Amino acid sequence: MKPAPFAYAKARSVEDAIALLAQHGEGAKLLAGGQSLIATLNMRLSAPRILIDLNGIAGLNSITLKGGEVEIGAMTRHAEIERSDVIRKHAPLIAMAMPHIAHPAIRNRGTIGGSIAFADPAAELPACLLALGGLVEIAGPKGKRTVKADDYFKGLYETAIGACDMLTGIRLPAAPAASRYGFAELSRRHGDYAVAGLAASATFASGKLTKVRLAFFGVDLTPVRAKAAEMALAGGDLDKAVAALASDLDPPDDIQENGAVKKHLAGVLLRRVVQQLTETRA
Amino acid sequence: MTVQTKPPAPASATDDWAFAKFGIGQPVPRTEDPVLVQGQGRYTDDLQLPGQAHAVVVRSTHAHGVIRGIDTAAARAMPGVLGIYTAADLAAYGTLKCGVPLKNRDGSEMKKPLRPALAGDKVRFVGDPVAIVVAETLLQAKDAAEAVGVTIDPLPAVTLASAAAKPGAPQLFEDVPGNVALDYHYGDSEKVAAAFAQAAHVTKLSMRNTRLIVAAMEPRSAVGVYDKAREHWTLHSASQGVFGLKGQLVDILKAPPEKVRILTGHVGGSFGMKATVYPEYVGILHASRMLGRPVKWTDDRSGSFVSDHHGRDHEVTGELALDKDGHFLAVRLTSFANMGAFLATVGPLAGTLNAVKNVASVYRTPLLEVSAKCMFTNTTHVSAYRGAGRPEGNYYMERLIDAAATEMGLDRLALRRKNHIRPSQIPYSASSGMTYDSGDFPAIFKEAIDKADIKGFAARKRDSRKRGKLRGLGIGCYLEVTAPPNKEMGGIRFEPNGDVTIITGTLDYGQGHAAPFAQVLSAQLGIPFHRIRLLQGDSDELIAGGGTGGSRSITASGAAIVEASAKVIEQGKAIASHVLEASASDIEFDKGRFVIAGTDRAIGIMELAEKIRGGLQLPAGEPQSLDVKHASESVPSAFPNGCHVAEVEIDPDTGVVEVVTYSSVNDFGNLINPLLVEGQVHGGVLQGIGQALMENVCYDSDGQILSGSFMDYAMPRAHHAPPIGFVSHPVPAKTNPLGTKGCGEAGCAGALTSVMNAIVDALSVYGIRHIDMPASPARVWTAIQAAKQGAA
Ligand SMILES: Cc1cc2nc3c(=O)[nH]c(=O)nc-3n(C[C@H](O)[C@H](O)[C@H](O)COP(=O)(O)OP(=O)(O)OC[C@H]3O[C@@H](n4cnc5c(N)ncnc54)[C@H](O)[C@@H]3O)c2cc1C
Repeated sequence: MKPAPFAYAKARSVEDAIALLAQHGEGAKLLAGGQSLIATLNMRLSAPRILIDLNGIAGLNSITLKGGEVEIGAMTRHAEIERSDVIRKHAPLIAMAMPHIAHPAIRNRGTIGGSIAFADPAAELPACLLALGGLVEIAGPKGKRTVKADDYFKGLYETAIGACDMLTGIRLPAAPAASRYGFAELSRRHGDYAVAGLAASATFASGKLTKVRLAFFGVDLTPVRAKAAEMALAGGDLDKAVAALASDLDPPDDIQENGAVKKHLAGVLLRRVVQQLTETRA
Repeated sequence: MTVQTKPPAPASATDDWAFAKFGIGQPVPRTEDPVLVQGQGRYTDDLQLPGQAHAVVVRSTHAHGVIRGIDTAAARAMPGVLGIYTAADLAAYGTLKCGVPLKNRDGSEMKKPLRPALAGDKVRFVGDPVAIVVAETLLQAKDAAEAVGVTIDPLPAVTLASAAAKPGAPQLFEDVPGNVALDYHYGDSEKVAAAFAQAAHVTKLSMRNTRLIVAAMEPRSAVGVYDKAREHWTLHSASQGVFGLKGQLVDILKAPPEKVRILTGHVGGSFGMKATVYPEYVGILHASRMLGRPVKWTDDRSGSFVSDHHGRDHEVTGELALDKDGHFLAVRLTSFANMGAFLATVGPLAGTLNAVKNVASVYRTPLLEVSAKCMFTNTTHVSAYRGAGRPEGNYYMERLIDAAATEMGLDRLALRRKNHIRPSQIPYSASSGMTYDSGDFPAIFKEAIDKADIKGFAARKRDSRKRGKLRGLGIGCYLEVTAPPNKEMGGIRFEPNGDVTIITGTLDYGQGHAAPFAQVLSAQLGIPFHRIRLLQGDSDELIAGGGTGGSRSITASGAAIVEASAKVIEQGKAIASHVLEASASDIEFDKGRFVIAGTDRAIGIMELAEKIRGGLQLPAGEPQSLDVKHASESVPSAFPNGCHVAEVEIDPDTGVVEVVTYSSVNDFGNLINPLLVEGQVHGGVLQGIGQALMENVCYDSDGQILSGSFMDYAMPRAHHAPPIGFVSHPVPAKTNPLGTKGCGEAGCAGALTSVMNAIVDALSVYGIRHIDMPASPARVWTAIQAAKQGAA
């Protein structure tokens, strides 16, 4: 074994997990697919005292269509989502993003709850959640609450999930007929975390885009909406939208790219995604 | 642990069939594979010795600093801990040494600061080992290692060789002023200066040959065993040949040679990296002596990133002088070579002697000058990495030629043709001091140009353009000087069970030696292929051995096997003379049989071996067996060469580069096993593409490694490999009996040059004349923007 020693508890229910969190406080970590967590443990970058395993909780790995919403349980694996007809039909943006997430072996274990809770700034699913204006279901010591995607991301790896909370699922508006989705990312190699990416949703009718939501990832500490660009697109002006990214985005430098390059790449992505949003359907 | 590789017996086989199928030149599959792919390989970490304890190394997390104290008290009290060792405990042993005998340009000795296995006074790079913790289990050792408190007063760090040369740069060693380990010079400066002064044109480029990690699939691993009763040391370890490694270890342990044994099992890749003694080996051998138990250490990947030596890392200014018609007059390299924090065994070689030998390549270049400053920096030590200066030298030359062609308005193909050494000029005395014995560079060039369909390039470029892509074509000619002469063992032993063992001092670390070596022996002695096995990794069995490296194995071991076979035949004639009752001088050896000349009376070599095993009585003073332990005297370097052609597509909006076509024509002399040769080229080319497009070790200003995991350090994947065209155009070497030239490193040499030249060709529409490796999207895009702004 590579990580530092830790205790282990298997949660039997959501309530159980929350009680365990309350009991162990800061030293506890929830274990979902383990694809991000175990790597940091193995490299001994973090050493929680106890892991609370969510894998034994029944009923958290479902994909259902209910009242115009697609509900996805926190423990649903990336691979299950990738193969789901419900997702393909009613949340096509998620389906478009799926092949870009890591590699098949990682997708077999990794969960949507883990991705959204971890909130890696370069990850695909948090941006999709934001682009779709979805909702996050959170359970905590004081009960359940629902947080809007726009209010959910707080900072680098920081979200509305409190220390003793757990994410139980997400809800996405089921795709209406005139809805359009676009997804593009640039990564060093296919399957790597994105250098820059864009998930978008909109309505397209009589040659016009409305209800545009652009969620960029890999360009800031959280996924970010490009609101000025959204307005410009709704006004039918792509060039203006690309120019508006200059004020919408302020990417910091990272090991792969400097901020200025990322800003440019965001413009390239926007043009490509707008093409997807507006191309005539077969 | 040693590994003996023996091919499976064919289902039914007549010897004739076996000859045709397993002869020299046949594409015989690797005989190691059935074992390895079934998970039955025996790598060092697979070894579990009774009573084995486990070691973990405590490494510096600072790039530079003074050690104020190492507190081991808490760690010693932890469960399972058996011992913790620091520099003071290892004081009695020798230091790790650099074996390169070069001198400074003023004739003085190069600086070789002592390198004890564990850092005592100072740490000089992130990863510098400061203590070894040994415990009952690996996890206990890991936990205790975290509890060792190392107090370090940090000092400013320097990671770039040119920065280390600046006044005021942090100094790594008190007795190495200016951090200069070696101020190397080759060539006649005055003559070269005169040639540049007369030149109609001078091309000058600054180039960085990127720092790389070696990334062997198998991390380094070793088990140390000290036998107190015999005062005897055994090191089980990956290596590239146990004979040389033993010599180094004997020196460090200060033990008599017969008291040291090295055993190497299967090795999962090395590329130059596992060839030498590393500090951990000294630490676990000492621990074994103190504890009276075998002690195992296996690196984890995070450790490998800082503890395995790195590759390349040269900053070079290259200059090429040409007359008005484009004839090369002289080439001059002025460079910094980054050594890291201490000198690796062959660390200084790549940037100095190997640059000299390889830069002029296939071109007439009457004058050559190389000035290289080998610099200490606060980084992991740098040493041999697939080519060790050969691909680097070829890269500088090919980049200079393309730049010169552009600047002079000459066709880059014509410029190369004009300067190729002609077959009529061979043997050719190069300005490097090397004499090329063979080669037909113009013919290979022509074949490569034809194979790559260069005529069709314009149409392909138009097609790419339609899809919004820039297309470029790049040429990479190369000529490599393989490893210098070294004694090599060719042992042949007839075993009790009827098998025949080849013993060599070269060592297979993934190449697949067993099949081609058996093909050579089979061809010499008519021994059926499936009866031959290969033994390499046991120092007790060896009387010589230069190890595998510098593309030398088939040439050096091949010659040793051929010579040893001749001795077997001589001994066999003497013995057969008694069996056949004839005079030894009347006996001839033909296709595996000893025959009385002019008769049909004969005995096969396998049958003769059988008779000897059966207790054949032979007169004293005459050979008693067919077994031979032969040390071949120094086969000279060979000159593999060729021409690779790559085409790339670049997305100008994002800077993403894709290698879309790749073809190569290569002269490796005679091919013993074309299947394995082609595989070596595939691997080398993809490794070269990795360096050209993405691999890069990055440090921050404190000397922390930023690319310390495979999440941050990009390795090429299968989908980065274009279909790789391979053509063999053999011009047999004249300096060794098999006419081979060596093929292990050529892929890198061809790929770095052809891919980077293709990228610059594609970007030439913007007036870009050079871009450094790795041609990452960020770097390509930034170069495009800078060029556009410059033009505006
Ligand atoms: C090589 C590699 C490449 C990858 N590439 C990508 C990529 O390109 N794009 C991408 O998006 N991801 C990538 N990933 C990450 C992968 O998608 C992870 O699966 C995902 O980020 C985390 O999901 P998980 O279920 O594995 O969570 P875990 O690793 O188990 O947990 C991650 C974190 O979230 C917390 N957590 C988990 N579940 C919950 C919950 N229900 N409520 C509250 N907190 C919770 C954990 O406590 C932990 O802190 C990659 C991973 C690897 C190893």
